[in-house]
Amino acid sequence: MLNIESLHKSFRENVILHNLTFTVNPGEIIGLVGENGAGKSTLLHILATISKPSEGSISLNDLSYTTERKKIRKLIGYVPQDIAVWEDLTVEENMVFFEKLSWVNQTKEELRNLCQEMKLYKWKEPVNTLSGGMKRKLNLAISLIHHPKVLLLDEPTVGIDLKSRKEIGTYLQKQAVENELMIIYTSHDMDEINELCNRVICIGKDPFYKDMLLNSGKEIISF
Amino acid sequence: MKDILVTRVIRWKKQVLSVLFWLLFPLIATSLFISFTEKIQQDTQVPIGIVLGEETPLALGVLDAIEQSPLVEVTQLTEDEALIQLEKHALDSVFIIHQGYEEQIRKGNRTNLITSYRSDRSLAYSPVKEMVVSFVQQETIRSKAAYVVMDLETKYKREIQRDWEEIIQKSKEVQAEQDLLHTTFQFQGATQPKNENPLFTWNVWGIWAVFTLLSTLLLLDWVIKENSSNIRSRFTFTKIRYHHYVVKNLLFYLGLFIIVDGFTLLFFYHYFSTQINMFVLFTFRVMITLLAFIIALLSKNVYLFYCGAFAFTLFITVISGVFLPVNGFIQEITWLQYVNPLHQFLSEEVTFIWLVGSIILLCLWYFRKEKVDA
Repeated sequence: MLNIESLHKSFRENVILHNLTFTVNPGEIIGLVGENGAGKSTLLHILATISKPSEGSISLNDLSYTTERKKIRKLIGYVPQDIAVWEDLTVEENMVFFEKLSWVNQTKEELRNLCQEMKLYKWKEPVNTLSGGMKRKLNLAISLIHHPKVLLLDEPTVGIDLKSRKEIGTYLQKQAVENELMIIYTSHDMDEINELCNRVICIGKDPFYKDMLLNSGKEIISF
Repeated sequence: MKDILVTRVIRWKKQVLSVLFWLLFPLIATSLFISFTEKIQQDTQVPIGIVLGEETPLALGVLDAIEQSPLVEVTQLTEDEALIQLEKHALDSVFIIHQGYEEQIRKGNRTNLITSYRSDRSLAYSPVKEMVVSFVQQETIRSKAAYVVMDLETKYKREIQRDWEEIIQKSKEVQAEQDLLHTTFQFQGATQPKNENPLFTWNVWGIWAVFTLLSTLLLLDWVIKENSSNIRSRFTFTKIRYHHYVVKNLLFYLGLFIIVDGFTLLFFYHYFSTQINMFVLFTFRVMITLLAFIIALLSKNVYLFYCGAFAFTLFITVISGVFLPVNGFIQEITWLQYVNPLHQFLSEEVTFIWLVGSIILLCLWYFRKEKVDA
């Protein structure tokens, strides 16, 4: 379980996140919405241990973010908004490259299966010849090599076709249920959020996103 | 370490030709440069024919003096052959040292000692003729001086009187010891090979060092490419931190460089008969790799880095005196040698100051990253 309590983040006098408290249970997909600059990426960065909160405490499966950062990093899969793969390498080479740097050893066959599960079949193709959707799938697959318990996705489907978007969504739902993966997902696409997420966290002052979700039947947490 | 090596091999596979080219570039470029300049020197030698009418010590002495000149390529022939070659323009000019040459010199005669032939294409005839004449005059005057010395020794009744040959021999020894006229151009750190008399002698390892500086900088461009890419964000969630990954990759490159340097050492020894202390080479290699790495770490844009690499190499080339003799102005601007990372290597000394500086900078960067990542 991921526990966030009284989280506060400010840059000098500029308060980005104020008093955030929520929990994420295993198998749950949490949507994170808000206007640009509301602090979605900042929150993801804090949860991914890339940056530290100004105040408050976070723990993952009873491991404190303050004292157990190295252990926590092994449990986190982070999918950056920008596609972070080697464009000149093939899908296979990218997967092997990051498997070698990963805490978990996997065979090529296991890596290939991981890609195929999200319908990424172009195993021997160089990444620079793939479509945007395929690249996004690879971006996600690399983040799952070490079997994380928490998956943090920063707008993982931005700029891709509907089919790939659906395939990624379906895969994430399956992972959450089958592997009890905790997923926190930022997006501006409210249909996607409605379809995928169990709960939605709205951050920022603009009530637009909250209003849009009022009739969705989702549990909305607002900060 | 093995896992990191696998990741580097995956990266190398995509750029195998480029990596191989730049790894071998110093060796190939140095070899080509030396061979090319030597070929140019040989091609610019004027072919002349010498016909010896007698093989007396004086005649052979003139022949030897002419052959020692780096400006001419001497072929010894018979008169008929020489004239045929001249007609074919295979020779620029022909000089015949007639029978009785030594005798005439001993008598002090200075006219009609040598006959020369030229063709309508003897472009270098005048300077070559002047050179030959100067050698003949030198020997004539030496002979005349020998007779004067002999006369003086007789006149003043010296106990041990030397003969003509002894005086000539002594004269040559004195000339060799106090040679003020003969000057060869020598580059910074170059040692003149024995038994050769070229116009220029190159410092093979100096030239290699300049090309190595450039190739090392260009081979370490991955530091900028990988540092600025989105990939770096993934290293927070891998078993190895980014700065560890970079340093381990640097060690692989260093290993690769050392292997190629070992091969270069053997190659240069075999083909150019030039040697270098292995420790001097090793410290230079470590220093230049660390320096290139630090420069790459400080660079954000790979194209600016490439421009900087060429500009820096050009600057070092100029102040090193490897391609242009700079002894004069180096003596005027002594601080230049301290900003030149190649200076100690060119003097065949252990690269100490720059090596220590590079290690300190690397440690500062490494421990700062450790602190940030903690």
